[in-house]
Amino acid sequence: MIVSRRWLEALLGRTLDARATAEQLTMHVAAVDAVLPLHQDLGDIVIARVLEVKRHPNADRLTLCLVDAGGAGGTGGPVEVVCGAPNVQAGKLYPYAPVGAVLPGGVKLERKTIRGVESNGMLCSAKELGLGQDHAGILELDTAAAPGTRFVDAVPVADHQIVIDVPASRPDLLCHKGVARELAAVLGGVVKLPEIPIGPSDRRTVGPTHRPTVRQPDRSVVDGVEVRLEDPEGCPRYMAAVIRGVRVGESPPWLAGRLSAVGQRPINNIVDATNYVLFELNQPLHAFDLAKLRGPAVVIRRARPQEKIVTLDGVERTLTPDMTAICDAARPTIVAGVMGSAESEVTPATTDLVLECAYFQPTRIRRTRRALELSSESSYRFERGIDLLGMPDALRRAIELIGAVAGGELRAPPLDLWPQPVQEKTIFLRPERVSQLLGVPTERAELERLLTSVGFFVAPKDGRLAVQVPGWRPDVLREVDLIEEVARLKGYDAFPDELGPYRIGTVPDAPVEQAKARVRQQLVRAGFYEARTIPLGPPDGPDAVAIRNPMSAEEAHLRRRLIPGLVRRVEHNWANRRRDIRLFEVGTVFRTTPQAPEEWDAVAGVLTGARRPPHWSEGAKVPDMDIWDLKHHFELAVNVAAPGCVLQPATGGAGGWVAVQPGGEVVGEARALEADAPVWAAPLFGFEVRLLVTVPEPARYRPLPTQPPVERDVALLLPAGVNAAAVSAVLARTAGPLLARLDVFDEYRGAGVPAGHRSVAWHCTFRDPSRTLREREVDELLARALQALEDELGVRRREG
Amino acid sequence: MQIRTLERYPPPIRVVIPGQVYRRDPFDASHSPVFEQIEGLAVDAGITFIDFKATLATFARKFFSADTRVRFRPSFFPFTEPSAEMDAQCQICKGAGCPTCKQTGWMEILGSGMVHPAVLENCGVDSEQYTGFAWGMGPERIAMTRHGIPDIRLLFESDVRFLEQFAAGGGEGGAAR
Repeated sequence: MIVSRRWLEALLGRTLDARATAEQLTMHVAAVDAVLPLHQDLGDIVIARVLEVKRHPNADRLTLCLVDAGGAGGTGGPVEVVCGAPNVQAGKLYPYAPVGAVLPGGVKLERKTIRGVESNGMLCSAKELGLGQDHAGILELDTAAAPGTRFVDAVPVADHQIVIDVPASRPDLLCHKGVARELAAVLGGVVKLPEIPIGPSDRRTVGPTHRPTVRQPDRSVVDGVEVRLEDPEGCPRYMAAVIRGVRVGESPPWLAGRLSAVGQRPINNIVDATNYVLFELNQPLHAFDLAKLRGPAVVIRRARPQEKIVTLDGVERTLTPDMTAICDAARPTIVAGVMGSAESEVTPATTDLVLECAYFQPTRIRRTRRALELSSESSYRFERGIDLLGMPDALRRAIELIGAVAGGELRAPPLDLWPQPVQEKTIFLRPERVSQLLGVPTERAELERLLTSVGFFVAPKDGRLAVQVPGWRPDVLREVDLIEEVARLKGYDAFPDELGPYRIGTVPDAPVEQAKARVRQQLVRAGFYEARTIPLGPPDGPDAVAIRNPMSAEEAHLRRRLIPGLVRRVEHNWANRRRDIRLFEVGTVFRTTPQAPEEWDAVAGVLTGARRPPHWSEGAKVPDMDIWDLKHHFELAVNVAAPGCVLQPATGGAGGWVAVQPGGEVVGEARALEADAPVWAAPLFGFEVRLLVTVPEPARYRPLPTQPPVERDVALLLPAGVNAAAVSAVLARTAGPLLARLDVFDEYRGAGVPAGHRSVAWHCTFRDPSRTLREREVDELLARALQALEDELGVRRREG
Repeated sequence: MQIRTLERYPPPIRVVIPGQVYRRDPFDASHSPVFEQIEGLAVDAGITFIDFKATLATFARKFFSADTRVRFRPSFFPFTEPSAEMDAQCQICKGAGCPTCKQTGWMEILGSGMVHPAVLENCGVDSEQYTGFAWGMGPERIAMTRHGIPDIRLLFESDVRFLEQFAAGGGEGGAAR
C-alpha cells in the first residue's frame, strides 16, 4: 500500500517528517518497505513572471521573453529567455529553470544560443518537470508566490510515497484515513477529512446529500432505477445513488495530484473521484453510465453458467454461478467487486450515473479473482474485508466529491439495500488478563485510552471493559486481539526484556537429531566437509517419488539416494581445480511404495585425492586414497550411523562393501564411483548408509590388563578368492578368547610367493587377564588355528 | 511440529525444532526452493510477553554479540497474538545503514509472537492457565547476515573453497583442504 505523506498531512492537519512517520508506522502498526521522495528533483526550479513577450527576430514560432525570476538567472535583474510555447503571456507566472539548473532526469541546463539570440534558462512545461504528459505549452501557475520563490515551496507537488507492507489482517490500513488514524493514536491529534476544494469553475451543488439514505431489505427504486439484490450471500449490503447531469472531464489539479502521488493515473473526474474515495476511505466504488443500462435496472445476482462479459481491459470473460455479477435487465455489467464492463464505462458523453457502493463477501471475491486471474484495487480490498458499517459515509463523500468536480444532481436520496443489518460486535476485555499475558500491570484508564485512540468504543462493565469493535477492524475477534492492540500501541519496545526464571520442559531431546549430531561430529573429525544438496532432480530410480507441482522437468522427482547429489558437488569442485575433496551429507531420501511414499534419513560421504595433508619434511607426493581408505571411513560412519551392523564384501564383482544389520538387511554400501572427472583427478569413492536411530549405551569400563601379552607375527599365503576378513574370522574363532587382538600389517606379492597367491601378515596379541601365558601354550593355540586355516581355506603359513 | 508437541506432551514445554522445508521458489540470490527452518515453542503457566522478548533478545545477543541491539515490531501471523518480528542491528554496518540492510540499520531475524489461545485450545491445553510464545526463523538468512554471505546459492554449492572458510577449529583431521 502506497500512502502519500501530503495526503496524510491533510487528514491530520499537521506536517509530517516522512522518515519519522515511517519509523512510527513500523514500530506500532506495520512495516514500511520504502520511503520514496516525489518531485524532490525540482529544487532548482523557481517561479518566474514573464514581463514582456516579443517576437524572436529570426524565428516565427519562437518568442523572446523578458522574465523576472526574482534575481535567479544570474544578472540580478530580469533575464531574456527564448520560448517556443504558444501559450506564453506577459504578466503570468511560470516555472523557470535558470542556467545551471538540473532538470528531472539529471540534465543540467546550459546557456544556449537559439537562432542567434542567447537564452538564459528555460520556461518549463508540465512534462519537462515530470508532472504530467502535457507538452503543448508551458505550465501556467496559479499562485501568490513572488518570482524567485522555489517552485517546490510554492506548488504542492513535493511529496513522499510511504510504502507500507500491510498484513492481510489489516484492511483498514489500505487507505489514508486508516493510516492517519494510527498516526493520530501514536502522535496525538485527530483525523478529519479534508474539505473538498470548490474551484472557481465549479458547478452546481448536488442535491440532498445530507438526507438519510433509504433503507430497504432487497429491492427498491432510486430516481427511476430499479435495484434488486438477489444474492445477499455474495453481497450482504448494496448502496446506490443516481446522479444526473454530470459533466465528464479532466479532474482539477489537486485531485489528479493526489492520485498521481500514490501511483495512480488520473482518468476523468468521475473515475478519479471514486478512486479518491477508495484511497481515502478504503471503499471501492463503481460509477457506471445509466444510459447504457437496459431496464434500466441494477440487479445483483449470481452469474449464469457461461454468461459473458467484456471487462474494462478488453478481455471477454466467462462467468460461473460461483461469481456475483451486477447486471442490467439483460446481462452483466460488472464482475462484482473485481471489474466493470467496457460497455457500461463512464465516457466523456456520459451525463447520468449510477454510483455503486457495496460490500462483497471476501471469499467470493477471492475465488472470482482467482478463477478469472483478474485482480484490481477493488478486489484486493473486498477480499480483505472492507468496513461494512462505513459505507454510508463513503458514499456521501463520493457524492460530494463528484458534485464538486463534475457537477450533477442527486434527485433522490441514495438507496441502501441491507437484508440482514448487523451492528458493531462487542468483546469483553479483562484488565487482569492483559497483565497476565503482557507481564506488566496496565491501568484500566490506559487500556481505555489506547483502545479509544484507534476507534474502539470502551465502556466498563462488571469489572471488565466492554469494547465495541469498529467496522473497519474485521481482524479483532476475541480478547487476545485487543491485548495485541494494547501491546503495539504502547510499543513493543516499551516492554522490558530481562530474562526471568523458567521451568525445564517435559519434551525429551529427539533421538534422531542426536544421532545426526553424532554422525556429523564423526565425519567432520575425519576431515569431511558437510555438503548441502537439493533433494530435487531427475528420477534416480523406478521408485523415485514424483512431485505434483515441479518447478521444471529436471527437478520433478525427490532423490532416492544421497550419493548422486554429492558426486555432482565433487564435479563442481573439480571444475574449480580442487583435487582433494571429502564431502558428506546427512539428509532425507524418498521412495514410492505401493502405499504412501516413504522417507528416511541417510548419511553419505564421497572422498577423492590425497590421504592426508602433505608435510614439508617428506618431499614426495602423499599417496591418494584408495578402496581401503573408503573402507576405513565407511566403518567409522557405520559405527556411528548404524551401530550393530557389520561390513561384508559386496557381491556382484564390482568390489566394495555392504553394511548388514544383524537380521541380514543391507542398510549401506561403499564402492568406487563413476564421475565426469578431469584427467588429473584421483579415484572417487563413496558410501551411503541409512541412519538408524539408536540410543547408544554408555561405554563400560573394563579392567586394564595386568598380565603381559605374548605376541606372534604370522605371514600367510592366501590363494586367489580368499580375503583377509575370512582368515581373521577363522583365526579368531579357533584361537578363542586368549587371542586379544589381531591386526593385518603387511601384504606382499612377488618373488617367493606362488603364482595366484599373495602373502598377508598378521600381528597376533595373546593375553590372559588372570595369569601369565606360557610360550608353549600360545604356540599350541596358533598351531591349531593354522591347521584350521589350511583345512577350511587352503591357507598356509609362508615359509622363510 | 509445534502442534504435535503440544498434543503429545504436557506443559511446561520448551522445544526447538529444526527441519528442511520446501517452497516453489526458483533459485536466486535470496531464494532457494529448499531451506532450513527452525521453530521454537515455550508453553507454561505464567509465560508473558516479557519472557518472550527476553528469550529471543538473549538469543540474538548470544548469537551475534553482547552489544547487539534488537527491536520487536508488530506483524501478523495466524497462530500468534500478539505477533512480532524481531530485527537485529545490521551486522555489516552496525546500524549505520548500508545496502545490505537497505539503509535501515536493521536485519529481519525471525517471526514470532505469543501463542494464539485458539492454538492451545485446539491442542487440549487450557488457554486461561497456560500461555506461551513461538517463533520461526531461517538459519540460511541468519547465517548470511552473520557471515556477510551475499548469495544463498553459495550455501548449496558445497564448494570446498567456501566451506573451508567456516572450518575454523573443525575439519582439521584430513586431507580435504
